Amino acid sequence: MTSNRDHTAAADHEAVARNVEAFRLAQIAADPKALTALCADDLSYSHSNGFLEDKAAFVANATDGKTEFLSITYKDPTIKIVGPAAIVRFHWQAEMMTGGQKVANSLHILMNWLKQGDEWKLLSRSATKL
Amino acid sequence: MTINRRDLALSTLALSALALTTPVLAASAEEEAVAKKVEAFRLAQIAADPKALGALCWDDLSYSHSSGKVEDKATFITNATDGKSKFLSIEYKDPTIKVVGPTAIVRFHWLGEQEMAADGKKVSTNLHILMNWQKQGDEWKLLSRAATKL
Repeated sequence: MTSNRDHTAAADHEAVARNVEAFRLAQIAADPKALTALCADDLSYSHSNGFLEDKAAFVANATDGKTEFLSITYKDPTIKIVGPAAIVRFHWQAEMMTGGQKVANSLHILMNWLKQGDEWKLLSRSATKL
Repeated sequence: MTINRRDLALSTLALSALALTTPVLAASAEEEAVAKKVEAFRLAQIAADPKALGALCWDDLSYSHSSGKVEDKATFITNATDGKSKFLSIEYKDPTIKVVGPTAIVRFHWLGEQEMAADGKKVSTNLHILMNWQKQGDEWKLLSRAATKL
């Protein structure tokens, strides 16, 4: 018989996994409403070149149409729940159209999700080139 | 001793004022606590001190490098203290700290110089670091860390 704590841990794991997948789809769709709902107001989002964005800048840049994602894969994701936080890592592989060119990139991503009320939201993200 | 309505109103006002100011004080006190731990971590890395590093990290530590290599707590401490290289200096330049409830987002520009034990070769590293600290009881501890080359 699973204890209440086991049940909660499993429920949290599933909730984070669901939101990570929703985030991936929202990035492909360049959907500002979805991205906004999935991110904490204190979001700190950085790219592999060290470029740092707050929530407003991230959503604006992710949805301004300058880049079109043809595909984004979050390969081999791992999720670790530690109290109100979730450490998420995966191998990002994406193809995009930018400046009329097709570009592919491959990154190691670290996402930190925070449970705010009943919702898991993305608090910080960083990337490094593979 | 009788408490009249005026006394009650004044003390309520005082308590409310305290409640309004306390969160602001608490936030910067927490930022200062995190800053102290971040500095202790920087020194522990230079000293290659396994005990100090151990005390500053969660058991669930997830530590990654600019290569994408991920280490758990035991592996991180082993590799950070095995003597294969020695830090001549580590600078955490322009650090920012944002406390969000029980967590703190810390970012800085890492400038490091190492000397390899095998051949004395000097290696410089220039990285953007993201650290995520989380409160365990009364202590702030490092939960995750990532790096990317600049």
